[in-house]
Amino acid sequence: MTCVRTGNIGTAENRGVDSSGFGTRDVPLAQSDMNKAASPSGLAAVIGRSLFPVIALVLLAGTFVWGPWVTLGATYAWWRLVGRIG
Amino acid sequence: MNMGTPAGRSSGKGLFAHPEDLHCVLFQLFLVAGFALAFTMWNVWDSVPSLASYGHAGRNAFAVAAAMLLGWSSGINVGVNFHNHSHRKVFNAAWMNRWFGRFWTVSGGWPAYYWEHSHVTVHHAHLLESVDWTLPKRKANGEWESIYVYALAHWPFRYVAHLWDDAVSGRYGAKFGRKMAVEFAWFVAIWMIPPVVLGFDPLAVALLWLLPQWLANVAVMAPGMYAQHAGCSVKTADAPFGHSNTFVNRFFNLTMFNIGYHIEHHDHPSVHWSELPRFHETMKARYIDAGARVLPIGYYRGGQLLCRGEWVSSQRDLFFVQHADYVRPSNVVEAPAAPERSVVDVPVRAS
Repeated sequence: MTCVRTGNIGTAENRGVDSSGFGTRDVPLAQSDMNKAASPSGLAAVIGRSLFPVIALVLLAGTFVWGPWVTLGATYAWWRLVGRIG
Repeated sequence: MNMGTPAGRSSGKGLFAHPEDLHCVLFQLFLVAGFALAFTMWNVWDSVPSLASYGHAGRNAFAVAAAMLLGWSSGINVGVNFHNHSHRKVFNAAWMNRWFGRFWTVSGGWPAYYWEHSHVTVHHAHLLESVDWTLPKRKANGEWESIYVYALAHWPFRYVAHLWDDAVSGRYGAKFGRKMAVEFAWFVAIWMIPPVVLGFDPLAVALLWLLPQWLANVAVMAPGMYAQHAGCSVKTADAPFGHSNTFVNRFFNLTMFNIGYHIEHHDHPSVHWSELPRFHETMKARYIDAGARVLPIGYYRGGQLLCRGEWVSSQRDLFFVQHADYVRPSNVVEAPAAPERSVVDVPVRAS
């Protein structure tokens, strides 16, 4: 059995959280040693997790093919769709 | 039993602190590519026949679409992606964390250090307390202000006022104000790159650089922040999970780096974002027993319901509908609250 040591809310561990290079964290934290969570992998993970900027790239580049008004309409449709399913 | 290693230290292996963090960097790179593409298309519009035929009205329509798409992604990039980095560094090298961070938040209209201070030092350390100025203000009756008021007022207006106060008050130490000044200088230097690329064309800068930043904060980060803690209260022994809402919509969490697992995140911020779904499973029974609010939707749907709920109360009620799998059985006798512990060992199954 493995364990994950976690910082509880309101504790120094929570406040200190981590160092992202700016030197704001002075409290060392325990790192999770849990096994890799059930999550997508490979191309599915790349597209899934970067879906929004990838869609942006596709729609913007597609303007060369279908023109700016279709891009604007598709953007609005995408915005509305995510508002329903996300 | 392995208790892990201090997250603040480098493992000394490879580029990334966690293999899944590759996706955080890819997101940022795709976003930068999107901005570069949009700037280039604006600059060459009149010289490319397939674009020039739509005239400047078409060019402006393209720019509005680009602002929506890139602003949306920038909001995720700061509020979710850099957010994860602010809790657990992405790279093993400190200088890479610092410099990637400085570039990471600019398209969202934030100096990285400022956002990190607001989120970690203010929001996480004082969640829902009166000094947590990152959240909506409370009205006289204790309810939160309108989501519209919060969205329009919080960035940049309230944030600037509070950050300035933090910088000059000295409450964060003598060097804090100087560090804020240095990081602001770096932010301005990086922030000025797109206006230079766009030749300081006012319309281009407004549509392709300023508008995305406004949308990132007002239309993406603010509703998300509001939804994460709507209807919540300060953590107590009687309501240990009442400080946040958890959202378990699969599409949302797949595309938003599992930010929906928000009770888990606030209680255990050092759990890596990729491990939150599994960590959630270990906590599920406790959440059901304690009546934690677990919602079947994501922030997008949630934000929409909260916005409509300003006029139609039934829409707001829909936001708070508990996920069917997390409804506490009515015949359960409430257990006494567990004593507070600073560190929790959560057993998980080894593979």
